[in-house]
Amino acid sequence: MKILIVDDSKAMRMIVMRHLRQAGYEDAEFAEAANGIEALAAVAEHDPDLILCDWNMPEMDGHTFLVQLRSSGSQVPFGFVTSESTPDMQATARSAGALFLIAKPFTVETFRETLNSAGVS
Amino acid sequence: MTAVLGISQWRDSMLEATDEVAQSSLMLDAVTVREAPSPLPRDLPGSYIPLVGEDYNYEFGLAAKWEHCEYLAKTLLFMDPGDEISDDDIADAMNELANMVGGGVKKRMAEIDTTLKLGLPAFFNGTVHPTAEQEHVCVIATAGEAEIYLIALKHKAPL
Repeated sequence: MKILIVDDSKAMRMIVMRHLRQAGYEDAEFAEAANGIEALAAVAEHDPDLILCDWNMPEMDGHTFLVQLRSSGSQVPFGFVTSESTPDMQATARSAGALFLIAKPFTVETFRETLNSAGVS
Repeated sequence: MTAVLGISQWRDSMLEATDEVAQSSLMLDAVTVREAPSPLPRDLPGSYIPLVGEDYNYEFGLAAKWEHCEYLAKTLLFMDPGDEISDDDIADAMNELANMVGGGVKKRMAEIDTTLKLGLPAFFNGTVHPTAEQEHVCVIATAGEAEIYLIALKHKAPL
């Protein structure tokens, strides 16, 4: 399974990968991008099976990235991992095509339960 | 009076959000809190993040002595105390902590103000110095081996 992690924080990309490994995705291959622009290129290069993406990022935010991704025809499973999780953002995320939104701070169990509920394996 | 009450509410939200981040992301015990001295020590690097409403904006900061920033970064990144860590990684980790605390503050304050927008964090060397035109609060939260100065400041509202 190829998982693309998109976050402008290198620290957070590392933390998300560690949590995913502990949540049962220890055999996953990971690719990284620091913003939406890099992520669009990474999707073309790596053809990921799952994208986990921050919302607030410089250059291109996660929501804009998701909209452009869906506009291109890609239906790759997509979830936000973000420090903001208001009901408005949840609704905006889902209407743009996200499967879920994980709020920071999170736990390994949060990843396990959310990904299982979303049917990602 | 309203403004003073306002910044106190933000202070409480920041403390709750910091405690949540300390326990869930840093795996530390609940933070303990005490009032910060005034004026603040001069050498307190830290990460600051804006939280912007329709007619005001706040800056929130997590500042600490450099060695405590290093401790927090290593704890967040699951590193051992003796591991090498770059200044960039310390700043990045402090920014992420500020980002998570800022998100937690926004979540808690969204019941009062739904217009809030969270900006991007920036790391500074040196201590922020509020002027007479700015309200501010600062408390010291002890998280594990680190003393974190939690700072919130805003410009005074026009009369």
